[in-house]
Amino acid sequence: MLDVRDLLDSTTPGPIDLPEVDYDALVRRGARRRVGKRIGAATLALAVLGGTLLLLDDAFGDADLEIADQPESLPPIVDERDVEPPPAGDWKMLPPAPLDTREDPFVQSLGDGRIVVAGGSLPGSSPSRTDGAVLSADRTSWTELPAAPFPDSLVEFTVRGQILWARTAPRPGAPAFAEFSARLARLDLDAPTKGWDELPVAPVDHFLEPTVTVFDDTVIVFGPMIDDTELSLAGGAVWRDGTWTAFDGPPTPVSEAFVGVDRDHLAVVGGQVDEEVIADTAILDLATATWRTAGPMPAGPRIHTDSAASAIVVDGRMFVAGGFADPRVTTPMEEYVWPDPTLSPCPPPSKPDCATTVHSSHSPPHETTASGAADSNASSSLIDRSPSEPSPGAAWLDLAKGAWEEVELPTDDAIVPHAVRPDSLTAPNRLDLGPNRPKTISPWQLDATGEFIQVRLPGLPFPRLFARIELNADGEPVLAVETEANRPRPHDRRVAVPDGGGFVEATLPEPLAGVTYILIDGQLHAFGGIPYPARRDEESSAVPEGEDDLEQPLLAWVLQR
Amino acid sequence: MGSRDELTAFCAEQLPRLVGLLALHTGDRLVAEDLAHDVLLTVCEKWPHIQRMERREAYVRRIAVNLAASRWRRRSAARRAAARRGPDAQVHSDPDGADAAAVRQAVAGLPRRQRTALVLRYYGGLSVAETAEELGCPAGTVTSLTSRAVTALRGELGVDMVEPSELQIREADRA
Repeated sequence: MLDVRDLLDSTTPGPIDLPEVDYDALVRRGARRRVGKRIGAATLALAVLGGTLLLLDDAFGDADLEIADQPESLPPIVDERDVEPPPAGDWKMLPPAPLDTREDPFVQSLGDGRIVVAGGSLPGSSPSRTDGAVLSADRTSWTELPAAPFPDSLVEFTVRGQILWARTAPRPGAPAFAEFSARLARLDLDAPTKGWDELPVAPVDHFLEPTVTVFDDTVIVFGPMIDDTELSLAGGAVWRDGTWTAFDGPPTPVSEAFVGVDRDHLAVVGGQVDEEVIADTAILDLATATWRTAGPMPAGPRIHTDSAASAIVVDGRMFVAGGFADPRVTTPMEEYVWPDPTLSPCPPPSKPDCATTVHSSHSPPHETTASGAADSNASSSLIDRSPSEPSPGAAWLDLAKGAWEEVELPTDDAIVPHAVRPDSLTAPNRLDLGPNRPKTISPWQLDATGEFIQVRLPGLPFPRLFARIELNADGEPVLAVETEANRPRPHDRRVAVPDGGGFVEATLPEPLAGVTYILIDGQLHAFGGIPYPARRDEESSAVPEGEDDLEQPLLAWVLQR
Repeated sequence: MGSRDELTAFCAEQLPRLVGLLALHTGDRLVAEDLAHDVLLTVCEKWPHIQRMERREAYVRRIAVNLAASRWRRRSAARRAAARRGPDAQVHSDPDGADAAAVRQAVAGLPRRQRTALVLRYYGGLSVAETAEELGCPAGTVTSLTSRAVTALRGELGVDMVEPSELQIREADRA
């Protein structure tokens, strides 16, 4: 007669049969989560109390394991003016680039230690900078690059491998329905003296702000078109093997659909046909330019709104969530902007301190990266006052198989309007989930492998709502950059780096606006920026004081810690 | 022994039975390994409290079943396990052999509450009261659940097995 305990015990694996565990790393991660939760709780308490709090906590040490016998509680409120924050490190100036300075230059590591800096903008409506340079891996010298062949255009850059791509982009403030044809060119960064190779113009017409997606050897352009009645997804073209091949829109013309693209497929999910919101799915094989239909989105019909829906592609699968089942959502939405982000949230229109701006809900499509993530400029303060109900649920679409897999979102919170929106983080393929209410922490993300990860957000020196936060492979925050510049400060955006259990601010020694911050091999770098006084005069027709500042070289820095 | 060393030793000591418990709960050894890692991470996070408990192991086992009860965690772990297996591996291949796999499959196939009660009581070593607290039910219900679970396993596996209480009765009768 067998004791059931013995039967169950017989299934216990032996220690040698188990994979090795790095217990030291486990202990450290556990400690970081513990401290992060305390800081997170304190930050929430800040939002509730509307006070000023600086969490004082030690970095993890053995003493931290022996705390007093009491539940984890919020630390006492401390006026931050009484506490000197620890220094983040020392900014070391690198050799200046052989470029005039500019705001928001494109910066990317090339993987071999070199850093490419290109483009950027000038104050006002000037054409963007189209030149660039590459910083050597040892950070001692620059190689100048020829300017992209689009001298009078707004130019955006991206890198794929060792190829620098430039594309023309619609100007902000251009007429809403202006036709636009994207032009593209590429530069081999290993042979820059060969110059730019401009692609023939894509054979697509009448596109309103097309989406351009660049892969290593493929470029896909697609977008809506104006017809007589309404916007619709009209098709596009694929650049491959030296030629463009045009493709038509989906068999059923549809507007405001979810669109996902990878190197081989473009999928259109849901959207609106006449007044009906649908769940239909159509997949385009980019190699043959042929459409096929797939099963409907299992979580129900929905239209895509740029601030409330996601269509992100990861490893050949498209993640679809959010959106609305009611076409009335396309009524104008209101955007609330807080004059000072440290104030408590700006409630509905009655609050006198809050500025309100009414925007059309028809935001431009977003340029996507190779995996389909959206580079979004959507304001994180957007609140939809439409009475529509959001579409629940989420699902993955296998683009090759045309098969859906419904997925349960990890958050227990009910999906609210704008709960799922294009990524506001810089890490590609990270998708923010969670309520998009002011001051609310969005704790869940969809990472590059398609897994939901819970992000432990630290206490920041500036509000989370206005922060772009970069995560490492473990989902831990490693960089926070302020995204709003609506504050009277000598620097237009603040940046913070991890220190102990929280973040500390790293302020450049010179007041610059429009600096691009980037983590490379764990080190924070800063490039470009315009001296703040010169930037202030951007809207004046008179020659601003300090215009000479625009002709100074582009500065580069690295934070040493 | 410093606190950190104590924590590390505790985690290492717990790992085999954690994996065993989660494998019984989920029916999948590789998924159990991933979930066990998540459990140990939680243990490390909550160590200041766990360290002061008398029944640390029981608490850890309860964390484990709670994590395993989370659908998205299971799916997440299942995906990682599938990636580790590779595309050609059989879904139900078990590194501990066919017998262990059969037992795990049988237990994982039980209704959730029966499975939880059985695993916590007779593998996790929890008392009836502790198991009842975890399940949110009276102590008598725990006894009923484990009894039904053992009966089901007996039929599924074709093994003549009994609960410890019945074993004691039978041995007493024999004596």
